[in-house]
Amino acid sequence: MASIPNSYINPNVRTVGVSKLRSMNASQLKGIDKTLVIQEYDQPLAVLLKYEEFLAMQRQLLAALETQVVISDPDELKSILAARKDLNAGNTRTIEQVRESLTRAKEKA
Amino acid sequence: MNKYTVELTPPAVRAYELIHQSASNCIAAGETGGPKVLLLRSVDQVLDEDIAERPFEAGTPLCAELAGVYCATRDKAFVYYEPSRRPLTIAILFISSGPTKASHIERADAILAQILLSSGIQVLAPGMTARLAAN
Repeated sequence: MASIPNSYINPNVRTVGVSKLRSMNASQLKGIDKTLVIQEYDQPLAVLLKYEEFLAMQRQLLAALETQVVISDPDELKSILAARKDLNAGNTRTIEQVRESLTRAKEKA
Repeated sequence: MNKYTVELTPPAVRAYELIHQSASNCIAAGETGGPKVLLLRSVDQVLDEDIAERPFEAGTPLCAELAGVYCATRDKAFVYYEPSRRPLTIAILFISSGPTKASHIERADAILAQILLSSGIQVLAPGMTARLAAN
């Protein structure tokens, strides 16, 4: 596997040995302020990071995936971008107005 | 009384009217539990219960050229929205029935595989990425 410089992703990354992980208790894990690359004999084995950072990474991954799904559908993307222009021009109706007009149209028909 | 006012842009109005019309036709034909009726129900729940009450928790924020846009979903309903300039107002940009097309789903799978493979996560989950790569 091609290695990625630790600081490339996060300057807060430190490399530590497995023994460091063994020595950590729950309160130390809770208070961790660095991302630790756990390694043995210079071989990276695992990464330990704050739970909040893990959740943030998951959110970013989800955002990227959701965005890519929208971008891959040209019609959907076109509609969303057109809608943003309408919004900037103040061209909107409330959901109540839309529902009222649908009810009126139904009564007429 | 909702916490936020929900307003629709013209593309969202057109999409909502289409979904509403399809559901009304089904109801008129006695199909009250059909997929089109369920889609309208899901869209209304997203608008009235999720976005009108907790818009920033209900949706996933998008990124890149869609930064600022959120996407909230329920079942097959996908609602894209962003905060309006007006206070406590959310603008619905577009409503869709989700990635139902096979090509759409395949594309999402391919993107996920690409992300996993490029990040080196395959070392942790070789079986998973092998399956994704095969897709």
